[in-house]
Amino acid sequence: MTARTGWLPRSLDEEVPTAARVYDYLLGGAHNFVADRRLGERFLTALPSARDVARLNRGFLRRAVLTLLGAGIRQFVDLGTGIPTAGSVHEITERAGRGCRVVYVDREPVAVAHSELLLRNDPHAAMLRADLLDPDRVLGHPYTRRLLDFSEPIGLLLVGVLHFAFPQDRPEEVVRRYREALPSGSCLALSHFTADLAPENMRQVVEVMRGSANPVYPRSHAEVSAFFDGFELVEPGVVGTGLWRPEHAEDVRTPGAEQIYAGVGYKP
Amino acid sequence: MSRAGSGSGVSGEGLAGTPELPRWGSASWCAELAARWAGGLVRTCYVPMSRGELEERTHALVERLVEALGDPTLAERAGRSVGEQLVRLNATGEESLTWTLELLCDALLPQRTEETRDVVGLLAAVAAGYTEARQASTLDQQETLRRALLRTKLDTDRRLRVSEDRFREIFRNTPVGMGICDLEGTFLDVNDALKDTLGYSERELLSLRLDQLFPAGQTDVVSGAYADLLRGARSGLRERCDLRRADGGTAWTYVALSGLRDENGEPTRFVVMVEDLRELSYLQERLRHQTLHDSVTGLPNRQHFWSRLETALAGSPAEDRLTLYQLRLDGFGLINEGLGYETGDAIVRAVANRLQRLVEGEDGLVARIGGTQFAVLVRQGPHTPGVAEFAELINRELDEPIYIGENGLAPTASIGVIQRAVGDREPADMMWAAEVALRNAEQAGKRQWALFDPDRAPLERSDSKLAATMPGALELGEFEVRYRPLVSLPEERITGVEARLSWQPPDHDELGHEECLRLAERSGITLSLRDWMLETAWRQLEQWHERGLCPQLVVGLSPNQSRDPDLVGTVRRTVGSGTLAADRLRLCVSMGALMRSGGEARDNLDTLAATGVRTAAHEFRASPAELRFLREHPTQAVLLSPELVRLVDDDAGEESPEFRALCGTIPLVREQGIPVAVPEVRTARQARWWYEAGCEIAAGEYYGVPLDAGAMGELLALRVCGSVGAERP
Repeated sequence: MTARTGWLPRSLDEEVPTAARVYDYLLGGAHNFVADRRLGERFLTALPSARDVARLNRGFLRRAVLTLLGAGIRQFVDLGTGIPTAGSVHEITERAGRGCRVVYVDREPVAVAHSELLLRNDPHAAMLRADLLDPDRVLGHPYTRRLLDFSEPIGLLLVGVLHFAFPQDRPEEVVRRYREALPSGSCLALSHFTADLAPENMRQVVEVMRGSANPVYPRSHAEVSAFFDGFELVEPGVVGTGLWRPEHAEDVRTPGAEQIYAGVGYKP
Repeated sequence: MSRAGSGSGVSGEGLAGTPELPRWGSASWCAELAARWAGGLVRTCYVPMSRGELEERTHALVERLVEALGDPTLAERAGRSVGEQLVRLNATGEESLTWTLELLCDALLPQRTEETRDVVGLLAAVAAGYTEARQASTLDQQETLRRALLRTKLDTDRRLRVSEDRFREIFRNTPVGMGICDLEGTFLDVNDALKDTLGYSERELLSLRLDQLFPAGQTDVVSGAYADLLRGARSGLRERCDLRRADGGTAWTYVALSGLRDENGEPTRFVVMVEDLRELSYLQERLRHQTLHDSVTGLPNRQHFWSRLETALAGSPAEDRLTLYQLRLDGFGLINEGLGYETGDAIVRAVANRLQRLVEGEDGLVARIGGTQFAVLVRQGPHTPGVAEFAELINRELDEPIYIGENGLAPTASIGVIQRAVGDREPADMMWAAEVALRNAEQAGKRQWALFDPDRAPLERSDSKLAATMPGALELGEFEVRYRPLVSLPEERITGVEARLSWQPPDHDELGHEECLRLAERSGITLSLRDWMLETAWRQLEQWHERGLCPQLVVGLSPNQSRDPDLVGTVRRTVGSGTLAADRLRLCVSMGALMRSGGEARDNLDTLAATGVRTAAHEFRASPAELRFLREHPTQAVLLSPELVRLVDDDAGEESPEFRALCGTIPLVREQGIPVAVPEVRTARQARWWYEAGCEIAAGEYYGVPLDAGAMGELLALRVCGSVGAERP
């Protein structure tokens, strides 16, 4: 699995922009480099609502985590974390006044390095460097075993990340293996680029990202829904991020609400 | 960093189209402003909190601003504080500041003119441009530093990872079982070697605590070790431990427990290393095997056989019958000397194989208990051959030639046998009895077998005991040399004294000369006893000579004493050290030894004669072969065998055929100019007969029993000494 085309760079070269740092840039963060910011600008040209897309995706993450907290889940695996800046999972749970344990997973070395620095004093969160497409390594990693209790429900977060996996990576298989490892009562929160609603914009995004270390593979509503096989989707099902349990009417109207599908499923 | 077009929809919206706010400064005005502020902010940036929360924050900011406008002294501080709070809220999007300034301008300047509006718009743009440029410049300045730091961190990580990979590699591939446990002892990680050693799967081990691997009574050893490690000891446990295997068995291991510490030195994990000692145990087993088995044949050795015999006797029903065969290969020295030790070993191996074949199908055991000595222990079953049959089977097996290169060899063996019910015998008894029987068989000749004779047991037992104590007795001075007179016939003048051994063991009757020699052969002190006797008697002779008493000293040697190649050297040292002439000593060499092939005794006799020592051949049995030897080989004197002399008793008289046969021989010896002496003369009649038969020298009860040195000295003083009869020059 490590020999495949790789959606995260093997090199440590910060001259090659990465999706994690572009995302950070779009969210107004400072954990990025010139090359990332340049790609970010190209991204904005292709998709003028890119900042909103990023913001809405981040907002979905927050609402999804709060929903899972409400369902009694106290431990999370965040796959493809990127850089855990403002509004990362452990911050959300801390703001909610819950002591939760969080395992962050990313394979991009700079993101991992940043994360380790950010998390070094937090005993309840850890960043492990692994390819999320390798469930055995993620689930068997000492950090995972130390922080998580597999007899209690776990929140599995695949937010804005599976669109970097191409069909040959068999992402549905990967999700299935994670699901099998999770105890009953666990939840999957997932968001994913789609070309269903704004095909022209998405075509340009794919084009821009093709030159980067992280090409994008948007999926249809049916394909995204298929990731929830074996889960029971909670209301409102798989919808645009802005439409998933919005907190304010304005979220729904915001441009960029349609580029990413989001959903939360419950493992019976 | 350029503006990103108008996709966000914020800047285009403005506030012109929005409804008028309630009365300036009122509570509802404040709430409305806070809501608009929050609603606008979330479109310019990601604020990680709910809308309600954000509105609370912006509401506080609005109140702060209102307060400041009522008191100009607060303005500076409040303004800066609000700016700072916005950043804290993560309201740092590109549009966040301009949008905020435009909103506040509209709200806080209700009587604004077009002019003020333009000015405020201009200032907001300046602020936004400044902030944006400032951030870009900061990012650029930080970039170099950030890269350097990241490179360093990544480099460190890479090194750490290499080191971790190395550890992983070792952890995975070491033959030592390793496990990492948390501070409660629960396994977090285990390697294959640990699984193999203990037979558990990884899943099973990960559900176990370390102490659960220890036998029930030893778990406190583990908790003690934990406590030591938590207190700061470097290592908690280094011990040989029997751990519990998954299959319920025991793993023989060496366990070392130590702690992993964080950068503050606090223990965070325990590391346990478990070395599988099966390999070691195998080596020990090999070593044990080597110490209990003979290296040539691989058979159990004497020590091992002994313990197996003990086990058989202790562990069997009392009525079971065990048969022990001890056998020794006949004349094996010839094979070793003639064909080499390698051939000898090959034969021993072949014999071992054949013996093992014999006991196949029986409850039996074969051992090599000496160089050419084997033991076969058989439990008598319903179909086990009887003793005679089995002994014959052994000999038949050995009759089949063993081919070593060109030579086909068929060694024979003498066999001693003891058969007893288990309840009757101690192991030592059985071994001893078989050995006695073996000796009896050997005395009967080659390829013989003998059953242990319980009637002879007391005698054998006392013999064995005496033989065993003999070397010590010689050291302790329990031996004595006695002297008996040799007289010339017919005048019966004492011409010499014969040295005779005597031994008085504690708790035993005194033992005479012939008994001493017989037992000495068994105990292995034959030669040292000879040397001691020679030395003692010679010193005694010197003392007598100093007193003017000058008999010749006669010393008779047993066959082995005669053959010994050191004999000449010993005699030279003894005789040469004193003042007496060598011819005062007459050494009698065994006729049997002289006749044997090899010729060592003959060489001894000739060499001694050349040194001036007088010699004789004793134990002459009057056979034609001996007569021929005397004809071909110059001999100074001959003594008849005491056994033959004792055959002639008073009752049968001088007419008995045995006496007449002997009488016929004596002249044949004398014809060659060799004088004949007769020992063991007990009566006056016998003395006369032997004189008439031609004997010139006599000894025996009739002339005097052996006396101690003092008594003999007195006797000599009373009688006149002289030399023994007529001799050849």
